[in-house]
Amino acid sequence: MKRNSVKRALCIALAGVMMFTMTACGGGEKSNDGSSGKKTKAEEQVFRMTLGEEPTILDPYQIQDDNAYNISYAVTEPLFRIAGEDGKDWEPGLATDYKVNDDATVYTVNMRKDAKWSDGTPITANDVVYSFQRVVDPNFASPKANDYFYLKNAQKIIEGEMGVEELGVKALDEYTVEFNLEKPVDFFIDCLKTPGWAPIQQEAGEKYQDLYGAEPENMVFSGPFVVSEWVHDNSITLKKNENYWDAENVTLEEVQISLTSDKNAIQGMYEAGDLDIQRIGTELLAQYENSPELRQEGRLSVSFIEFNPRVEFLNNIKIREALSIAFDRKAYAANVVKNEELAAYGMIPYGIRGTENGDFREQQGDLVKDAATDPDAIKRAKELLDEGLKEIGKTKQEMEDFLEILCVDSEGSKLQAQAVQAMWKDNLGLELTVTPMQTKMLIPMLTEGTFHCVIGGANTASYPDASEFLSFIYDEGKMDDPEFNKLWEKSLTQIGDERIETLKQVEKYVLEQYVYIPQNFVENNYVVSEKVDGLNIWPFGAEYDLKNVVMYE
Amino acid sequence: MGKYVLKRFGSMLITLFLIATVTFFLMHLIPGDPFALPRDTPEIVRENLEEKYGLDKPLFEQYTIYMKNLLHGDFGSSMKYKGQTVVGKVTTGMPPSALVGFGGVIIGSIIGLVLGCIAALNNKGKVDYLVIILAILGVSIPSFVFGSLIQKIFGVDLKLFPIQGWKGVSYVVLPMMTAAFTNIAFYARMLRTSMLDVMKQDYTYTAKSKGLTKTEIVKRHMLRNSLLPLVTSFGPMCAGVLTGNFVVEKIFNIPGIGQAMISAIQSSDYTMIMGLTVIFSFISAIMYFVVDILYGVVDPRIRIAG
Repeated sequence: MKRNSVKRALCIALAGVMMFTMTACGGGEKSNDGSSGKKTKAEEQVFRMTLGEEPTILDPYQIQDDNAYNISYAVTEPLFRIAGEDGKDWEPGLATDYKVNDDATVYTVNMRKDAKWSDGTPITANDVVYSFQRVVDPNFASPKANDYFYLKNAQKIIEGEMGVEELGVKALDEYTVEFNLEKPVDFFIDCLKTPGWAPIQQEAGEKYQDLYGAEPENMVFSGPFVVSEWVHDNSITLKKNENYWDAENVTLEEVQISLTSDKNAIQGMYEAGDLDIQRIGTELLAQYENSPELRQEGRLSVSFIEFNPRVEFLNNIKIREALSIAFDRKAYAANVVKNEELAAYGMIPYGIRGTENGDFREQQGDLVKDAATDPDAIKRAKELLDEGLKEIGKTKQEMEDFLEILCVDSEGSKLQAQAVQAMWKDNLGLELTVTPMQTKMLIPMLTEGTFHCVIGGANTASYPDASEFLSFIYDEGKMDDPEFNKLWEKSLTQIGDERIETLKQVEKYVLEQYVYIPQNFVENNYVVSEKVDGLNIWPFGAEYDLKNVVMYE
Repeated sequence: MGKYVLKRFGSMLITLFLIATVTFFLMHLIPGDPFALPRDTPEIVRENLEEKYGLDKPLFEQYTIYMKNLLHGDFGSSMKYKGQTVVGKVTTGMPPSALVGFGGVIIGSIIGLVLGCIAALNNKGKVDYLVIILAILGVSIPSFVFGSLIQKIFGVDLKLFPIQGWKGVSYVVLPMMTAAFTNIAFYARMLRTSMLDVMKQDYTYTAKSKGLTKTEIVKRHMLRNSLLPLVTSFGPMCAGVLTGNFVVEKIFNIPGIGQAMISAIQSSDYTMIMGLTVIFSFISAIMYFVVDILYGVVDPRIRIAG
């Protein structure tokens, strides 16, 4: 009975809402991956796509937005490329192979000798060294300089205590680079696979300084494509890079990118045949449900409810647990995210390396409980809430008056928050109000700890490693808990399965505190024309990998 | 006249100065900064960035630096999109916005005025009601709905015009139609009301009793007098056109100035917000000035006091 009323409440909350970006559905079969022998290659090898909005810049060391990463990965070749199932493997890029020492602190990378920049000059180890010295330079002031803290002395250089020449990136000879790391990082090759670690040409970098990548003229390319035209706020055109080291295996001649986010226009263009791919929201999912064009790909991301354990009411663990149990993740995922399988019962999504090369999430199982996994959950939640309130000597009414629930001011986030709000009301009889707020106002509140509760916080990993989902908790220092700190710091000194084992304990410990309440994992839905073959969509780093795309008639 | 122009120019400068000052401080009151750093960014990274852009200095010092640069004609460049200067953005963004906007105003006003005139002359007739309905639709259907609708009809189904983009003449048609649609309604409604008012004036009766033909009355007495309120609306209208139409630009992916302004505000791109605000205010001030002069031309009874 109770479950039904939850669902009904949800349906009411959902009715009439048209737009919602985060999406999903089961399975995960790649309908356009792998080739079929019968089709004939198109004469015009042109791939047409859209990206949400103008990339801020195409310099890999200043990029912060996903749109720019997508283009960056196509035009600036990293040392290694993302490969294999879920992108866990690597294949050669500018480098062919590497050696690592026993404690995973020194990586020696061998670069290929035939790689050239688009202007025909050779790509050498000096370019790599230059690229990293540039990004940690405090005068360069990269907004993501902290991404390179893994490199030895990077933090001290950024803080102005050392010169850039002290950085742990050295050229052993013209084509060998040695990376010295601050602490053991056994997934370091995963970093070198992502677009943010791809070297840029020293000459161009020195010439254009921080305007490198602001215009196509201010760039030299090393990837399968070059940026041939960039009409700001409108479109970007890529052409095949004839000087690319693997140019013979690149079939695509041109990529036309429209920089538009208007959903109706994009859908119209796809219908009219002006686009070869579109990313769709849940509102279009039904239309393409049985189409071979639909493709669903996971993204290494988790969204969660976050409590501030330092404010009244939420400083009581029983109250936090009650709120966590009263949130039915399965019903939420099925109704809001449109895919029950994306219900998150942990902080770390599927697709992350576990011990013995298994899957982290599968090994950890469901770490949180709710009505979907435990029939007595609601009863227990009510008891916990009452006990908690009794302990602090407050009433439900006082809690309702005091607590401020925040969410991001977007259609999708408001929808999520409404669903959670409805569940707390139905299951606990708590009527809490939700206030939507702009992200740029929300972030200072989160970092300064001046909030009560935020629904729909999200964490997206740059690399397929469990630490990516937990590090922010330690870095922000909000979970001021010696046990947690001890475990986390232990993980930083370990490598291999030992480290993953510790991270499993960290995840479990964090979830037992009920400060972060996992909501759902993320999957994106794409509609890809059947003319397209060889398009890889990765769960981290760049979304689209255009290198192997071939267009058929 | 010369003295009047000088006086207006002086007050315009003061207005611009006030606008720049108020915007500067208001903008810094909004929480957040142009860097959009993720939540786990260490303090040192933020500090380095703030130092680079001079945001670590006291606010008043930042203000004096900005105003000094402004006096030298230096509007600065975007903090979000590196290498894009404010002046560059205006020179590349304003022509597309102006083309679509003025096209929309011209087409919209011609059709609208004709419709409004016919409606007024057929007061309470079938045509009148038809125009009123059209006007209500034009005002109440938001341009993102109308834009998407004609995109679907003319772009997707009939394939007559490109759906979005900015690569040639054919790309202008649909956005211009969208911009015109609201204008048709606006002008039709306005002229109709104004003309109905004029029709009841004594001079219209006089003209009738003089035995003038209907066309003569409409042309010489009614139209001229009923256009006066429209002239007032022309100033803000032109300023609005030059400063872009965010909705139309977004739907049709036009690299216009309206999109630039909205995205600057959303991302707290301080230099861009300041630069565009000052330039937009300047344009508005000039337009109001032109309208004042135009009054005298349209209605000789209005004289500008020296």
